[in-house]
Order: sequence, then C-alpha cells, then structure tokens
Amino acid sequence: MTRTSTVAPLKPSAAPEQSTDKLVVEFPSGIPGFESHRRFVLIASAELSPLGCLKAVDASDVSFLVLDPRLLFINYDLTLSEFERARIGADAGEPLLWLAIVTITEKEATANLRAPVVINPSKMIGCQLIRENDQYPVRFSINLG
Amino acid sequence: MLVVTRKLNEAIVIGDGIEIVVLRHGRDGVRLGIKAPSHVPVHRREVYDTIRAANASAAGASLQIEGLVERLRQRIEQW
Repeated sequence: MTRTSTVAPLKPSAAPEQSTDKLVVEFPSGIPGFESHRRFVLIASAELSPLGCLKAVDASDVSFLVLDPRLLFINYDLTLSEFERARIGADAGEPLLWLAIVTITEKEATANLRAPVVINPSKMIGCQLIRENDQYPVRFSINLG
Repeated sequence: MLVVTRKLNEAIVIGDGIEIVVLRHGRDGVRLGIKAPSHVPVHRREVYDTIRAANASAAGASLQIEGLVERLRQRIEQW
C-alpha cells in the first residue's frame, strides 16, 4: 500500500543575523557509503537557499548539499510504502521533508532523484530511500543555462 | 562465505528477524522473498553500489558551491 505524503518545505531562516538553523537528524541505518555516521545536522540558511546542507555531526568532511527534488522534477513522486514509512517512524499523511543530494563537479551539478533523503520532522529521523522507479536518474543534470 | 542449497519455498533465517525464501527459480533468475525488520534496508547490490558511489562523490561537494547558489536561484526564478 502506498499513500501520498504531504510535505514540510525546507525554509530558510528569515533573520540575516541568525541565518543558520541547526537541526540534528538521526539516520538509524546511516547513508549508503557513510554507515558509521548516524547523526546529521540539517543546515538551512538564507545564504544557501534553495540548497540546504546535511552535515555529519562527528565528521567535518562528511557533508551533502541537498535540494527539494520538486524544484527539479515536477510531480516528483512523494509516495512511501508502509515499510518505508516505518523506517522513519511516520504515520500515513504525516508531513515529511524530501531532499535530493546534489553533486557538483567542475563541469556540472547533478541531483540524485533515484535515492532521495526523507526526514520525519516530528521525530527527527531520516533515511535515504532507493526508488524502484528508474525514471528518476541518480545523476539528474541541473541545467543552469 | 557460507554456501547452502535451498529448494523452492525453503528459507534461510539470518539472526533474529531476517528470512529469505526461494519463491521461484528458472532460467532467467531466482525470485527471492525477503522479510526483514523496518530498520534493515534491503537493496539490490548493483543499485546500492550506484547510490554508494553517488554519495561518495557528493560528500565533499559542499566545499565547492561558490557561484552555484546564485545561478540556481536565477534558474528557479526563470521557471
């Protein structure tokens, strides 16, 4: 059974003098490749917006730029299976935060739409899902014109 | 590596809560059913490896964002 989840948008902080909102999110099963890091700080600031930054609490060199996938892919599928919802302790219809991990090289910027990070803000638990739907590429080019 | 032979509908139990059942086998592959607790992610190896590699290349990227944020903002405004 799948159900559409409503969405909590990633909001930049309004006050410039307090431009960084810090929130610690637990990733009980880690992020593939970084399983030893379970706690990440989500940084949403006016300076970074529309990007956010997901940074490991215990390692300064483990950080990911993230972006709401719906900014890149209209009608991005926000459905979760019962199993996936259980991983982040979310009830059906609970507002969730969806983030695509962004990779920047000298040539281009891409976003991973195949494996979005989903965070349950009410419990501050997150996980990286792998979408079975292969219409979502791992390296979706962010065309900056 | 532990190697075991299983027939159709026979299973393997791993630890306390993981069970793998052979549902079908044929020329084009073996169909497995997997029961696991919700905190245990289960993925196809090749997809998992792709995501791992993508994460590894993304992990240091926040050091190189100069200029990107402004360009992205302009791009999103145009949409």
